[in-house]
Amino acid sequence: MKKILEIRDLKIHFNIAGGLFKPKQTVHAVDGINFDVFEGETIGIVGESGCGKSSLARGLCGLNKITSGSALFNNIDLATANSKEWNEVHKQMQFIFQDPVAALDPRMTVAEIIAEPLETLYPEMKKTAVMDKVLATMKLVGLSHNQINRYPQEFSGGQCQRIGIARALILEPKVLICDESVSALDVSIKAQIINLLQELQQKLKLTIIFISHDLGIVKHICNRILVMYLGNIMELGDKKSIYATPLHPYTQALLSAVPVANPNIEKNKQVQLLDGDLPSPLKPPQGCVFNTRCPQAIDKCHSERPQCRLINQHMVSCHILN
Amino acid sequence: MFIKAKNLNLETPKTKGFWLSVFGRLSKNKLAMTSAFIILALTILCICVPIFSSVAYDKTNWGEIMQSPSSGHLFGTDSLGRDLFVRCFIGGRITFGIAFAAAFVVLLVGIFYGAIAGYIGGRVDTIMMRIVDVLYGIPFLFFCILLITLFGNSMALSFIAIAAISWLDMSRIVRGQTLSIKHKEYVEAAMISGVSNFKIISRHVIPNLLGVVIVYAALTVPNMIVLSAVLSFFGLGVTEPMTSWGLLIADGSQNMQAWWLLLFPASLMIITLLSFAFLANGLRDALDPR
Repeated sequence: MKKILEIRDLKIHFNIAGGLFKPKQTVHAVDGINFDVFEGETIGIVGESGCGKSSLARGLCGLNKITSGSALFNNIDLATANSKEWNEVHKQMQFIFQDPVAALDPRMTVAEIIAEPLETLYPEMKKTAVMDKVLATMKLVGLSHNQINRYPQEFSGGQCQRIGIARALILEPKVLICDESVSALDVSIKAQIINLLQELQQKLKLTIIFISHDLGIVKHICNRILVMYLGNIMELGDKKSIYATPLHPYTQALLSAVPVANPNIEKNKQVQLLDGDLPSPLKPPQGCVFNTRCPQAIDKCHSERPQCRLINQHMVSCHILN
Repeated sequence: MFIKAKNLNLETPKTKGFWLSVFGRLSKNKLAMTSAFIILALTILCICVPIFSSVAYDKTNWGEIMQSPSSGHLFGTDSLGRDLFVRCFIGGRITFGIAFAAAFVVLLVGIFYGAIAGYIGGRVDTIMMRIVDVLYGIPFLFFCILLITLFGNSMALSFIAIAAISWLDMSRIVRGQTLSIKHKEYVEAAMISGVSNFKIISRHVIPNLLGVVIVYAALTVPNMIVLSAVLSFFGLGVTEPMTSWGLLIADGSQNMQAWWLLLFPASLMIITLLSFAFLANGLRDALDPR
C-alpha cells in the first residue's frame, strides 16, 4: 500500500502568554508522534478528551501551527508549507467538523457554502461549471437540487452535515479528516452519515482519518486504530487485533469500558477502571505519560519515556511489554 | 453574493435573500413598523415644517406672548411670543441631525476600531482596548465643558463631544462579536478552503456582525438625542435663538404655569425615544430567525 501521509516526530505546542508576574506556559497538545496513513484506508484516532486528537487533526489541515517535526503529504511538508503549498494541500485534504450547524455560515445559501472552496481554489472555473459541480456534489451526498437557495437554519443537523460533507467533497480530495463528525448527531442520523461516508469512500477511493471517542463507531468504520493519550501514541494497530488483543494497559482499560449490547455479557463484564484524571498537558509526567494512572507501572516508567516498538504487529509504547 | 441559481433551468423554489426575509419578518411586527413610520414622519416634519411655515422660528411677537395652543399657534407661543410649533420642529432638526450624524460616526469608527482589535488580537488588541478603557474614565460633562472652554461654544463642538465619547461602547461590542465569530467553525471551514483573511472578514465576519451592530445603532440614536438634550439643558452646544429639544424642555420646565411649553417638546422627545426602542427591539427579533 502507498503511504499518503507520513508523520514524523510531530509536535504541536501552544504557548499560553504569561502575564506580568506569570511565567509563560506551554500546552503539550501533541508531543512527538510518528505514524503513516496509507491510501484508501480509514484510520481511527481514539482517546479521551484532551488527549490531543483534535489538535493533531487541526494541525494537519493548517488550523493549528505545527511546532516541530514533519508531516509529509504529497511531497509537501505541512510543518513548513507556505500559503501556496497550503492551497495545494487544501485541494486534496479536507475537513469535516463536529458541529454541523456551526460549520455553516448562517448568512449564506447552500449553493454559496458548497461552492466556496471551489471558487476560492479554482478561481479560473466558469460559474456554470461551478454550479454543475455543486449540483452533482449535492446529489452525491443525498441533497435535493431544489434546496440550493435555502439557508442552513432551514435544515436539520443531519442535512447540515451532508452540506458540510458536500463542501469538503466538491474539491475531490484524497483525504478526508473527520473530527468527531458524527458525535453531535442523533443515533439514527449518525448511522446514515456513517453509511454515507463509507459509501463515498468506496466510490471516490477516499482516505479517511476518523477521530472519535465513540469506540463502537470506530470499530465499525476503521481499518486501523491509533490510541492516543496526552499527546502521545499508546498503541497503533489493525482494528481486529486491537479489539481482540489490546496490548497496552491504557488500551485495555479503554476497551473494557465499551458497553456490550448483550445484558448477560454486560452484567459479568469486568470494567478496568483507571484512577485519577488525565494529567495536565501543561506539565506532562516524567517518563511514560501514562505512569500516573497505569496499574502496572514499574520504576523505569517513571524515568524513561518508552519508544514505539513493534510487538505482535502492534506499534506499542510501553516498557512492560516484551 | 457570488452564486445564484436564478439563471439555471431548475425548478428551484424562490427563497428570499437574507435582508429581504429580515424585512419580511420586521413588517409583520406592527409595533416596530409603527415606530419606524413615526420616526420617518417626524423626520419629514422636521425638514418641512420650518420651510413651509408662515412664521420664522426666531420671529418674536410682543402681541402674542405666552399664548396657549390655538388654531393660529398649534402648540402656543413662548415668553417672547415665538411660535412653539415651528420651534419644536426646528429644534427637532438640530436634535435629529446631531443624533444621526453622531450615530454615523460612532458606527464607522466603532466598527473599524473594534474589528481591527478583535481580528488582529494579541498585543494590538490589548493596547487598543486599554486606550478605550482610559477614555471611558473621562466624565462626559467634564469633557464637554473642557472642550467648550478651550474652543468656544458651538454646535459642531457638541456633536464632536458626543461622537468622541459614544464610539467606545460600539467598538467594544464589535470587538467582542469579532472575537467570537473569528473562532466559529464556519470561519475555520473557510480557512481550510483557502479563503484569504480579507475575504473572510468581508464575507463571513462582517455580515454576521451587522445584525448586532444595526440593533445597537438603533439604540444609540436615542442615546445621542438624550445626550444632546442634556448638553442643551446645561446651556452648552446649541444657543439661542436656535433651539433643540433639550433647550425647549429646559425652557418649559422654568415656565410650568404655561404647560404647553413643556408638554409638546417633551412628548415629541418621548415618542421619538420610544419609537427607536421599539424599532431596535423589532430589528433584533427580525435579525435572529432562530
